[in-house]
Amino acid sequence: MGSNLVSRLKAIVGSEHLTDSYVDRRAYAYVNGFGGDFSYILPDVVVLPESTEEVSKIILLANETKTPVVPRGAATNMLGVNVANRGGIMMDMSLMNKTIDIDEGNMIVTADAGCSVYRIMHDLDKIGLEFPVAPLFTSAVQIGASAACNISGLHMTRFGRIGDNITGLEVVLPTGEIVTLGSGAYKSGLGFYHRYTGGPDLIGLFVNACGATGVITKVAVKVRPKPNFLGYLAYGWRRDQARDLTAALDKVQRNPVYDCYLTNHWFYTKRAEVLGLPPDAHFLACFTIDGHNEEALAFERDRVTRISEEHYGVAISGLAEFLVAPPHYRIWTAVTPWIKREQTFYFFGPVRKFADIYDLFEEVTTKYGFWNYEHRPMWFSFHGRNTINPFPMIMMNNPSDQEELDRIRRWWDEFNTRVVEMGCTQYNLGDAFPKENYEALGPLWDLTRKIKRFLDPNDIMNPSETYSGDTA
Amino acid sequence: MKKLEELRADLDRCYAESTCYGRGSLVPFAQGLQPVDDWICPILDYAGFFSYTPRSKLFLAREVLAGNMQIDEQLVRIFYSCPDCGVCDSLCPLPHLEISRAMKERIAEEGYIPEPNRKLNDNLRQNHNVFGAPNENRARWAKALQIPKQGKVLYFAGCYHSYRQPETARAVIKILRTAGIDAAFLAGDEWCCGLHAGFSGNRDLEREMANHNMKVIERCGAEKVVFSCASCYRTFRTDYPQLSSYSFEVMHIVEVLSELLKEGKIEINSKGEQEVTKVTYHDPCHMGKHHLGRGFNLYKAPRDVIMSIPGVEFIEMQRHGLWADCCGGGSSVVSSAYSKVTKYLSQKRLCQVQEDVALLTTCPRCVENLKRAVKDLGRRVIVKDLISFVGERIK
Repeated sequence: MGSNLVSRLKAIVGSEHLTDSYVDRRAYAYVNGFGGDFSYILPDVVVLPESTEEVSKIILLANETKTPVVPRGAATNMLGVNVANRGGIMMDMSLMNKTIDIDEGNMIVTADAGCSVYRIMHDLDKIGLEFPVAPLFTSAVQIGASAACNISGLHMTRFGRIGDNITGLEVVLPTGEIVTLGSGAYKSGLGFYHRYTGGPDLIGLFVNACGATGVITKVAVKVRPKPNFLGYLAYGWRRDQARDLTAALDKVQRNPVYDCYLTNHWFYTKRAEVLGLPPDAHFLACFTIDGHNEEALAFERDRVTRISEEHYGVAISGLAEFLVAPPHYRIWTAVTPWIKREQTFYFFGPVRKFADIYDLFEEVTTKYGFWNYEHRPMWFSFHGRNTINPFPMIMMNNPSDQEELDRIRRWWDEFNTRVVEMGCTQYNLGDAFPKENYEALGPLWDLTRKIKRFLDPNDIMNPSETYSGDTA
Repeated sequence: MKKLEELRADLDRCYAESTCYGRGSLVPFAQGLQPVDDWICPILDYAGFFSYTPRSKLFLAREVLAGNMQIDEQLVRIFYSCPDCGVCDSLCPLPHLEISRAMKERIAEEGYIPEPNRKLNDNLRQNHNVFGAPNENRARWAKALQIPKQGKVLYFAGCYHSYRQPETARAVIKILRTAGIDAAFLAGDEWCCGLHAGFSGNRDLEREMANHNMKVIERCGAEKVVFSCASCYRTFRTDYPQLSSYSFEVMHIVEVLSELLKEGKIEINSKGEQEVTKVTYHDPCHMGKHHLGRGFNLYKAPRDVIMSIPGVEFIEMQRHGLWADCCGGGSSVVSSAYSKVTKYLSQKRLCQVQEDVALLTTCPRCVENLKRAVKDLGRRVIVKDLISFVGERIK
């Protein structure tokens, strides 16, 4: 990257918001997951824009000079989608965090892309409202990146992923134009009360696209009142009862519970005694139930209890309250004191295939020598109405051990490819994933790439082999 | 106090949960801590770039350890401009403060220690205090007080209260004597606690200071050592036990005072040097966050003392306890080498205080930095050490 470009960028963002030092760039090359962790592909320069106008000017300049641009939030994504694969400009969105506007009447929150999701949740909490997704990770997570990666989390059973709740976006297109999507596009001032504006749903072009189609600079999300009556139930199943569990999950979710969260025993092995886990329980399912009053809640409790018991689930008292009840959401903090570095990927599959998917997990994990306490092949899944969103993990014994890393990589590739062969869908697109996984989409993948080429003719936005490989 | 090599397993453990540098809180909320609206890691707030986050620092330390990265000016800036406030250390199971110190030790060993920090360490080595003044001058504040050098209770005044804020040192003696405690003072035999050395990467020098101090304290027969400086208290509480064993009890004067008030041995008057009706309290990092999990954090005692002062209304700052923003002093490592960082953070903290409110604290570095911020910003806020504030009001 030429010094002329750097000085033009400095003129846009100010010299204090630009760095091209090696150490800073190296830090921005790091992503905790395949595709980034062990990558030495550095951006040429990092910028911190403070406004949509600055983002637009940066993109215009990048287009003029055909320089790649990778927008980035807190970099907690573990799938390597926010790495500067081709160098260029890393655009850290963190300083675009000034405005959180809560429209209580329409129950919509609109925030700048760099705003912390947890900050938004906290602000909503103060006025009795709730964000649709309770993300697994932390207060560093930003709303713009969450939309770009379409995060999932607790409460997905009832409310879906964040993308299902987005009613508006402000985006900077790869050509530098600023576009508002959703009802907020009108100048009426009525805001982002509705996602659709008569034409095709263009919001979807930017959700889950990880910045490949444009930079999200503002996000509007539907929120809801905090439920008054919540209850919690937890059940355990043995490993050989995966099909019973599948049937139970399928039935419980048909009339969707508020939330369903599933793990295997490896996840909480170290706390098994404290949590009162039955010694032979391999699967642990936590159900959050709700009702508009106590009676409705009791009815729902009876329904979930009956289904779970009909399918041989063993009740575990207190577990669900501990793990999934707000405001604690201890699903992750309950394990952090002793967790080690892990590698994971996330995908979606139909609930009805859960037992088959899990069998495959065990088969591939055993094949690569990870089905043991040392590597704790943890599994947890968020659940949509008819889908599961698993996060299978292998805990690394030693991240510097190349043999182990290579083996995990092979585990990752094989499991990833085979779940997609089964019909499961990927969470994000990125170069870390096997190419076959995209090609399996057939004409849909061709269409996706055509749209990308149309929107981004110079292929500057988060460019990767995924979109612009040989056949592009 | 581990070397970087001994922290390899911790460096490898980071799984990028990123609680260490977020904004707002829900995960901490989950741990039963009070929620806060908009917290951000102080050095990330100043610098803006992800490379300054605790998570990034773990990664950079891992790269240095693996021999993949050379130390350069920017790496030095990232590590030495962080005030080590300790919030990351409190939120994450990984030992961020220990890693930061081990990394600075590596940087110092390779000769990259910032010049102002090297000079302060030279002062410690040659004069046994951070200011480079003759160490016998340490006792000037006590000249008229006839303080013994031997006794069961010893007052460890520290460099700042001995040289720059003697009114606090005198207030300590006044408080103790009012309660019938005749505390001893080591005068010129007292050396700097070594905090700056430890946090600037020269832990051998910190050890030298510690060994001397422990030896002279044992020799004077002290069973209890009382501190007025949050940093000295911190160093004795958390670092010294790792260097050597000692038999004396360690207490901050605010703990002692809180007990004396409960026992009715001290009475506080409403009139001091200045008329003050509203006060607030700034929690120094070295009294709180640095001790989280060890049980030495002092959040309650200063508030108990303030509540005992007649005629003043206590206003709690929105950010207090764990979430109290750092004044930016960073064990003098930051204030001496990256004074702009200190200026930014102390001004930010000061702006959280209402005008016409007295800002009390229990750390001389915080007092100094916040007073400077008052001067720079021209705000109507009185900054005072809590102990000196109480000392003025003892009957």
